[in-house]
Amino acid sequence: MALCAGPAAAESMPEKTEPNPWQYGALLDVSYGLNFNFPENHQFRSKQTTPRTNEFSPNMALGYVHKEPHRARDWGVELAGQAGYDTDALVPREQEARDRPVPGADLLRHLARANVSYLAPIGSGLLLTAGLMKGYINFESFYAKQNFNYSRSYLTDYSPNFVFGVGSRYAINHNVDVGFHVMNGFQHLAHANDLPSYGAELDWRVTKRLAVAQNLYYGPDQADTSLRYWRFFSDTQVQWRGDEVTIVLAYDIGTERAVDQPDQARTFWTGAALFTRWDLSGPWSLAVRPEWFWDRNGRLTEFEQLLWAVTTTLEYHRHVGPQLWLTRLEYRYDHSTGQDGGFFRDGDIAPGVPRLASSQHLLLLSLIWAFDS
Amino acid sequence: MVQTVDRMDKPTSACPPVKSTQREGAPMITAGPWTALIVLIAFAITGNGACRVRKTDDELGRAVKQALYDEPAANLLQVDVTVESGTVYLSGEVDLYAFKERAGQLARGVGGVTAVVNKVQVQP
Repeated sequence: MALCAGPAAAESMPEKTEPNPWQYGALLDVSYGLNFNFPENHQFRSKQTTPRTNEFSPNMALGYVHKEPHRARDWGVELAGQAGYDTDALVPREQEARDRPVPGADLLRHLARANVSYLAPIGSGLLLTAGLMKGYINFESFYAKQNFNYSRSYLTDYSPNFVFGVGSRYAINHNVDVGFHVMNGFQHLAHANDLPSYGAELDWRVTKRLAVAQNLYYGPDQADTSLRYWRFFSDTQVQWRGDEVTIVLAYDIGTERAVDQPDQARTFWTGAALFTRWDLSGPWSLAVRPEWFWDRNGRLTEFEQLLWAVTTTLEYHRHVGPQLWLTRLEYRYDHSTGQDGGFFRDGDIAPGVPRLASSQHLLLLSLIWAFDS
Repeated sequence: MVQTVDRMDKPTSACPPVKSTQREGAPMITAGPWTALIVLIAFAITGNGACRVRKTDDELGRAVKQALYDEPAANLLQVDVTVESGTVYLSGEVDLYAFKERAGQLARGVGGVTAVVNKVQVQP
């Protein structure tokens, strides 16, 4: 049993020196997912990230260099490249009157960040950013390392994880900050028209441990840019943090009139997820995430379906110098109902027509290595 | 992702030297291992003075989280805390660079913390 310094001694810890403003790092994320439906195409239907199962999957490799603006009139820059299965779905599928990939999209999906920022000397500091930046909407990150669970929720898969445009963020006080964004569209590698879209965000710490976030998107995502065809999307989050438990409830809803439908019918999708994590002891933590996602018109998943899932993840993490090793064992149950719902399973019902099952059990083992300078 | 590392010398002992209460000329009493153990247990139970039993990583983690999440002057609810062998690793996002610095200061202020690795990122 060792003796230690009391609080008075800790406060005498020497002040830190000015950190190097330039930082760099890398990330490698691999997994093996045992899909008990054993689909011959190895695909997780309706899933954008972690799309491959029953095979070794290098889902993400990332390298970055980064400089943060520290004080007023300071500037910053972010540049990052990425590769892996998780980037495949960033290239939109060609759809008439809707999305078509921007030229070079298959190469541009490997660009994760490319932006410059400036901290304008206004009030507490107005942060202005231009270029390709992180999406402002999701609670979860596109990168598994930063999440409670390994596989991402449907909410994360079907919301903008990247934004190409200009953005601003301002902290009104210690508890409230707001942001405004002008971007090229819902999917940063899709080009449906030449008009910009708009986004707004509000983060509010209601009490010391309770926070609420409201994120909005509004803009044209079809060839016809008439106002009646603009897409509206809302994301609401409520977060509570305990010393050992964190709970976040997220709710999304989106709608737009479909130009490509005979009656230009209003399409609609909505979903929710409850993100929970319990820090067990030392390097162990447990996360459970129930969720549902209703794509009434198949606007996002391409299939009219109601999805729900429960994901349970046991995590072990260890720092080794500037490196972080994370391993996660995850069990995920997905269920899909609806006209076109289902998950791939073994065999075809006809040549080229895969057999579907209404549910899917998936056991995932993942390893994440990260290095930050 | 910006990372700063602040280290302090590992505390050896912050306990003040124990004054001898032995009267001159009195017969010498040898302090054996049982005496030392009793003294240590007494300090552990009473938390007497500035000298406390070293906190476990879990205890340090809870103390750092309380310091961060209950901080009125900065929104640090998006900061994640892990502790390994007394070293505190901070990650996650904040709105201002000042909040990131404040997170590091608060973590360093927790008794028993030997180093702070601040990987908190200011969100664009």
